[in-house]
Amino acid sequence: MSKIQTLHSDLLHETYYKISHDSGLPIYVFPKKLTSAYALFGVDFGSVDAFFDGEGKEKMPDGVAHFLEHKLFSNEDGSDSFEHFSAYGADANAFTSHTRTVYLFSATDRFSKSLSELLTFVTHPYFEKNSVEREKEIIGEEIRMCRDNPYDRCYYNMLAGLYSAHPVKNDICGSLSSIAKITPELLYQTYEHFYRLSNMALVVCGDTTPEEILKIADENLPPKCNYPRNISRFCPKEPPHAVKESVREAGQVAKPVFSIGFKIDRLPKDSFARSRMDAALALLSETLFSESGELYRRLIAKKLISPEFSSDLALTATFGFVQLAGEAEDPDAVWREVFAYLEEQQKQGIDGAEFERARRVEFAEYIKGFDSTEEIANNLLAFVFDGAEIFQYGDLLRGVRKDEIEELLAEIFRKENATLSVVFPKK
Amino acid sequence: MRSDDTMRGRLFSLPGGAKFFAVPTDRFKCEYFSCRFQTPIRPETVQKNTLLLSVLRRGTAKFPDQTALSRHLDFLYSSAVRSVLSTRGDMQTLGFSADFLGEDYVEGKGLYAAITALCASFFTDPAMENGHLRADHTETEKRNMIDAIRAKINNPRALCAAKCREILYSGEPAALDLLGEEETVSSIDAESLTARLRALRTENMPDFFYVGNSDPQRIAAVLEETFLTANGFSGQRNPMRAVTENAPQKAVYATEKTSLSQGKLTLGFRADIGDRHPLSPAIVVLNELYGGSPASKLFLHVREDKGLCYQCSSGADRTKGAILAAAGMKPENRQVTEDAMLAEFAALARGEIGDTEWEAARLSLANAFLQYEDNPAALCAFYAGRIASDDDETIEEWRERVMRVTREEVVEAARAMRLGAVYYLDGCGSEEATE
Repeated sequence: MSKIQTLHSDLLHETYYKISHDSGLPIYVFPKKLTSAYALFGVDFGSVDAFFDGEGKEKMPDGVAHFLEHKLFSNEDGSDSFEHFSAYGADANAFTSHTRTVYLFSATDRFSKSLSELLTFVTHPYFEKNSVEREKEIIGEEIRMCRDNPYDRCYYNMLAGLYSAHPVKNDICGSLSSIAKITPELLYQTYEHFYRLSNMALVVCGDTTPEEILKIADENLPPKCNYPRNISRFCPKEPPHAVKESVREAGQVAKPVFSIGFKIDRLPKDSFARSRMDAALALLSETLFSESGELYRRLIAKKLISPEFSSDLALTATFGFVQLAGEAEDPDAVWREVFAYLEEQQKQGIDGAEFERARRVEFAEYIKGFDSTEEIANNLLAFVFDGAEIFQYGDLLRGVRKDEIEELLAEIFRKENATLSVVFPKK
Repeated sequence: MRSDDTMRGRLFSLPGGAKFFAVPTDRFKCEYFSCRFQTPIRPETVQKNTLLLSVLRRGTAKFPDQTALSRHLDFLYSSAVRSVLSTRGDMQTLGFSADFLGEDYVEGKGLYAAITALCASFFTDPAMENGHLRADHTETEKRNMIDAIRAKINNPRALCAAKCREILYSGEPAALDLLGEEETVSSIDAESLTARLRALRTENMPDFFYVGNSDPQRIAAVLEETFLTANGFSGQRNPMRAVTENAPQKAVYATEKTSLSQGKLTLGFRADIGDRHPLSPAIVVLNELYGGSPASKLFLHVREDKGLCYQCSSGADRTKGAILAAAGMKPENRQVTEDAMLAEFAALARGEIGDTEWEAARLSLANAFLQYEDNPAALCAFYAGRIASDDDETIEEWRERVMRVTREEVVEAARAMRLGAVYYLDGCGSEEATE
């Protein structure tokens, strides 16, 4: 008998439900009285899962997770699930990231039919040789399109500067030569290895109930879990620091595009500790790098950067980094200014008022994340796959102390952990 | 103040002819506000207007630089204020939009008064020195605008579409680029920009939009106090203008060499069908069938069946009666891709529309219109367009009108369309670069 657990937030006035389905699939239902409902069927399998075994002997070609995501929409009867969703008026899509593969749809009507379709096509793989060959052409064009995107190039070059062997440095789509090795047999092998319901999660957000979703799940999923739960994964050993100080490439850009990456070596194994570190790093990044901060003011005042300047954070069980990105005539001067500022902050400590400003901003952003079914479903899935709980995050933001972020500032934002990636104009 | 209960929200007429459209709702944690006006696209003002908006967003008399302004927005619980800059027909839309936490999540009273006052002060009380907009702000934003002009190549797909539009709307205001040429931007100074601001305030009257749980009557009162003061707006709402009776007689082809690994192609079609024409809703359905969704002809046949592209889709500009279709492909596949895209359009003009694709297009559009209810910015953008055209059609009425479109009307619209522009960014096609 599937069990239903209730989770509630007094702060947000929101409730969601976790259903431990008999099939082994965890299901999360977030009722929200909006017009469109959103469903995500996620697999804890992304581009960083590059080996079939736990010892690193059976390497997959780069881009398999993404290729599988493309091909799973093809059905044995020759139909394409995109067409089925269209027939129900739903808007379907899918994406592959470093850590997960997600199939999704949004709908304002006939939700149960679309959800049945989602559960059915993802659990019924069909890979046919000719169609796999044709997909190589389509994905080849996707690879070329990304290749022409200077911001993508800058990002991946930054990862190559930070990481020596970790598969996060490889393009999620793979390369023309790596996808050439993909066969239907390989796709079936990959599917059998990673697409187990206990390694997946269904998240639904919309005007619905856990009972309604459970009924649809019962109709479309196996009645019990009949496969081993453990999945062997391998992650190559990484040096603690960045492997290159800079990576530079010429591209079709008007002005150099840059990314400064900071590698995070200490990655908490415990998901709660990781979630707390994530909250602390979010506060630290807002304190140091926001448009309200001193560093941004100096970079603009010295005419070193264009106005668009962003910081991003990735923190998982096997890799983590902070990225600063922007455009600059002289990215090396930006690098020097960033480190001068970081060393200053490390010496004098974070200003208390700045820290509280950052907390106010991050807390408001957290609340704003509960206004759309799409955003709620995506965030909830990210928390689920990271073993964390979305309602706890607000408490974590309130609980982080200034000395915690000062420790992270001293530990992570050092030159030996950093790399500068630049895409400069072709002559 | 007069109020009419129309559409899904309420439309208020403010002094001076300004319109205020409010959607009272408690479904969101955030509130949304936007002020915007439309002004004709003219070669002598279009770039100044664009630059002016950036300079105004840099600060006000009270928050005179970007740091002070950002900190103020952080204090207002991370409220976000963005510039609104777009074109509609042959008009340029200018303004600001903001989203901010609702009353339940902030201490004290709601934030709408502070947000509307801030948006008003960008126009009425900007950061000045010696009677003009600040010279340092002007020079910085000129440099940023020139950077943006040069950086168009960073987004080749958008560049290709913009070049195609320039040809398709040649000789019409809509052909003018909002960023324009570097030389023109360089020649603008703080004095001339200040004169432009004064002219905009005396020549225009904004419309206002709000979605949230605060009392619209109270907000209307705040708008009067902030925007419609002695130093505020005192002009007229500009009527919508769009040249529409200008379908091309023959296609113009243009190619530009680049070092991209992929070629980018945009096809521009156009008909003598403006947004008041009875066939206007048919253009929306035609576009959906052609390349508007994963069930469209371009996606299913050019991408999935032929494997020529990853990205292959189309979009409609209803105000100009146009459809632009775009694809990225290996340079050696350029001609076969163009032929395949044209063949799919020709099939529509011949009425080759299967029952499944017809129903899918209708359902997809119905779904898309309903989703507006969950997106305050999209909802306001829809009504901004309608109100700017003095059109009181609600989103429900528009959806019903689109749902009533017949296949015959779609075929008629497709037959009225002429291929007017084909723009191609030629890539070098280097396979080495993608390894």
